[in-house]
Amino acid sequence: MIDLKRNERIQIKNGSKAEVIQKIGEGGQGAVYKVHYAREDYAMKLYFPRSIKKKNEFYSNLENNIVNGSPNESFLWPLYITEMRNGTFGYLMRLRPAGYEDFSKILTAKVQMNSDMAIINAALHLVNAFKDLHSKGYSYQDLNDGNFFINPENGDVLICDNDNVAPYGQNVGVDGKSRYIAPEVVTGKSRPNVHTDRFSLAVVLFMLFFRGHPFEGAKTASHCCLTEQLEKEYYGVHPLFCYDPKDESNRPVRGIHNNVIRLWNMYPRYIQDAFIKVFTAGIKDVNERLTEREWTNILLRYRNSTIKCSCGCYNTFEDEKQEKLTCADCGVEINRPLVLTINKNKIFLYPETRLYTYQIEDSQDLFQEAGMVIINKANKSLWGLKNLSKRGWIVEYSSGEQKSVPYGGVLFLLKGTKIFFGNEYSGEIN
Amino acid sequence: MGKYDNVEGIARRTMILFFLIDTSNSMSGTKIGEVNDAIEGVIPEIKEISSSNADALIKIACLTFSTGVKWMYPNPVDVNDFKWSYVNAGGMTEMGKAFEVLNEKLSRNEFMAEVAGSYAPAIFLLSDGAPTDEYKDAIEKLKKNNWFKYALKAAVAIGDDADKDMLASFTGDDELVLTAHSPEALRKVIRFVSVTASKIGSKSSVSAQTTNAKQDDFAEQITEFNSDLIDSQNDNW
Amino acid sequence: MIIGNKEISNITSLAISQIGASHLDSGICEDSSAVYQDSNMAIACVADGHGDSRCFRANLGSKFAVEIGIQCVKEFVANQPNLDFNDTKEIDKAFVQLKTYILFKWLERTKNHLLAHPIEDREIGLMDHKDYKEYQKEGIFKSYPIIYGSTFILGCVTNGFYFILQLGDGDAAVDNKKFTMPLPEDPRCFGPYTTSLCNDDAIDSFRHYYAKGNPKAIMVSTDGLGKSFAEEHRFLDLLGVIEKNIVESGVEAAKPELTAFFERLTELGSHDDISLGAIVRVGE
Repeated sequence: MIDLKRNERIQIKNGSKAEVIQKIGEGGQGAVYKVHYAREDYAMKLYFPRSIKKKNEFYSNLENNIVNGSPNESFLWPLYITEMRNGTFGYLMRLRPAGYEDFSKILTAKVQMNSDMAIINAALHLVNAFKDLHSKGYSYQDLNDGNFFINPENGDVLICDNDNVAPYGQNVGVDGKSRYIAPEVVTGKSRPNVHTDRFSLAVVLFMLFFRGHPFEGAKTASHCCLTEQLEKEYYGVHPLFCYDPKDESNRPVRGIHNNVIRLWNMYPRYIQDAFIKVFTAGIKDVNERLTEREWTNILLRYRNSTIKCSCGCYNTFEDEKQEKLTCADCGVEINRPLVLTINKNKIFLYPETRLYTYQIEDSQDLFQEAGMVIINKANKSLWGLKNLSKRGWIVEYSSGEQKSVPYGGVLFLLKGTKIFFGNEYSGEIN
Repeated sequence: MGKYDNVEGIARRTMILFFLIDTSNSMSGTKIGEVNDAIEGVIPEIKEISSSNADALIKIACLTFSTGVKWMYPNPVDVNDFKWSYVNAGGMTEMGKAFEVLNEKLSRNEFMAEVAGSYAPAIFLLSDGAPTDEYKDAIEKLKKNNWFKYALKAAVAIGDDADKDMLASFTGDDELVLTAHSPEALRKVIRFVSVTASKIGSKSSVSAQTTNAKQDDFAEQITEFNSDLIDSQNDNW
Repeated sequence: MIIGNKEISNITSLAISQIGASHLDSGICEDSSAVYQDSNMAIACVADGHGDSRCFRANLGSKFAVEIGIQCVKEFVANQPNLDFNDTKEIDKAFVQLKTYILFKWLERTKNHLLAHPIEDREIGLMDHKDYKEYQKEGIFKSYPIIYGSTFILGCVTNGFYFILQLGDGDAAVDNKKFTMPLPEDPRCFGPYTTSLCNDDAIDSFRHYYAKGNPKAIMVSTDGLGKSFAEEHRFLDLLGVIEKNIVESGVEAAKPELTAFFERLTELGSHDDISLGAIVRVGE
């Protein structure tokens, strides 16, 4: 297929013409161009004529997606569709903003995530995006390391190639990349759907945390070439999780799978257990795969119990019973700090720990900050919680004394303190 | 065999021993005299190591600093050809400038041109006082230089007025700062450091991981020597 | 296109390892080298066992490395399914798997050797104290590969396609009209330091290069050869002379001449063990 030239014009359905500025990339399905349309710049994906099998179905699905709009701000969603032209078509979407890197670059350590907090937030964004996608009745069908981007500074996620998104039960002819797609799709027993999405999501989360693949270990390393048949065997027919508690034969190998070896033990038991569940029981039984809600709860629990050592390294307490931990970077011992309990949330209160809006009011926003733990400038051993939320709080110390804490105000962190958040939410520090 | 007789450019692997010598005003008189004497005296021993131990060719580069800096020779000289040129003292203590110049020369385009065959250099700093110029940035830059990072480093504080903390920031370890309170001690120290560095630095033991096995070995030997030295010193300066 | 399915012709190969001048006392050469040739491929492989005192079985480590390198690459060339040369992602994926396999086999071989040949009394003092305690308790220790530590360089020629694998210091040069070294320098192999098959992140230091074509020669050598020359072009000139001698006199005559030269070279130059694996096209 010949590339489009600069200034070439493409007709947008029910609109005017988009003008090509330059080619910005190419993938298996088509090429991407920067175009100018209706006084703004967009990215345009134009499919290769032979790459779409069921053209009409694909076209109407794309049109539907455009009309229904993006389920979540993490998706780089199709905005306008082109007319059919020369046996092919395309669509317009926002240009990818600066600061985002290919997930595959992060996997191969060409780019580093800024911190463990950025990793947790990236995981939350991904899970959140899928939750919103599935709640609208869609499934993604082709999640892999080539179609999403992460901002390594803060963990913001951008998911692309949303042209394969389709309603549950329907399928527009995509098979998915074998190392990401669920075993039942590899073996041909099922087409991609919400359950297979959840499997791919678990694979991506595993790769994000441990920078390796869950089914790669001694068994996959013991072959000279991974033929199609062997790939099908190891990722589809008999996938064996590298940390399967009952079968050690595919354990990660020192010298080869060093990232997984190093990082697996840095995460708490409940995170390891979640992956073990998905990748053992969850291989055959789709109901054993964690739902987005379950992942979210696990990740929020993890975020709540993660504190930032003064050296800059993030460390996580397994639970309230853990009395102290040793910083993974500088080796300093940190005692368990005070914990603020609000309903199910147990927030470990250490300098720079955030309070989030969803913890103190009925909100779905997992990233908006509502408070922060700060150090008293005059006395460094005194810490306080600063109110950064929309409401004033009332704090009741164990002495019975009550004080109001407006926006910008700070309450001392003392054991036995109760905080009332100006609505039906309240918490206690212990 | 005849076929390879015309092969050119064969070279021994080299190790450079750097001497950075404070020649400021306070060093004048017996101190600088002793330094001249001690270093000139140690050259024959280093020659011996170079020829008998033989895995590496040892070269010497000497930089003096007072008001401004000066290399004794424009390039490192094979120890077999090296002739110590007596240095005089007078002026300020521009150690910062010395560090900058050292950083420039610790590069493939300069003294470390024979990169493929080079062993990590040994760098020996001798001073009796404190820098009179800005040196902290220069040390930070040096620390980023790979050749400096892997080098064997030691410093000798001559007399009591030397700024030992500052010298430790150069060597990276306060155990690698030795103090010489007497001429005999100075001679002993110069001899020990030069000889040990030459021996360790030119051994063809390759580290499996990028560890500092050589630096650890060096530090161990220096520390041992230093504790013996402290016992035997009397304050003459 | 399937690599290795067409015959190669007029190829000859040789491998030499010469003990270094600094090892004459101990009598142990830590380098190993080997070549393999059949109608479809030619492979040359060299490996340099580390001189570090903790690597007290490095001579065995390098021996296993070249044996395994040749065995694995034979398998790779013989079994390679259709490789689409336009799909560099697929080719890179295949090479990553090959490197993984070589590492896996080397780790397995060294582990089995240690289990069959326990640490001897004279070796205990050379071990890291923590490692020895672990060994006493478990019969093996996590860092066991370090005692066999070695570098690894391999060159392979098939009809119309050739490739190089390298982990650690040493050189791999290709003659396509003149000798060049296609793999960029590894910044982690600096001065006397090198990456190794025994590193716990070995796969990250394992590099590969491939290209279409029929080079006149590929030569892989351990660092004892390259470090005998102050300037790179002198080293490459020598490779040119070696190639010429092999083409003119044949391998049988060239080998003893070259061995004698290496004996002198280590004395005059690096003092280190010297190994060379060469694949050379003779005639057309």
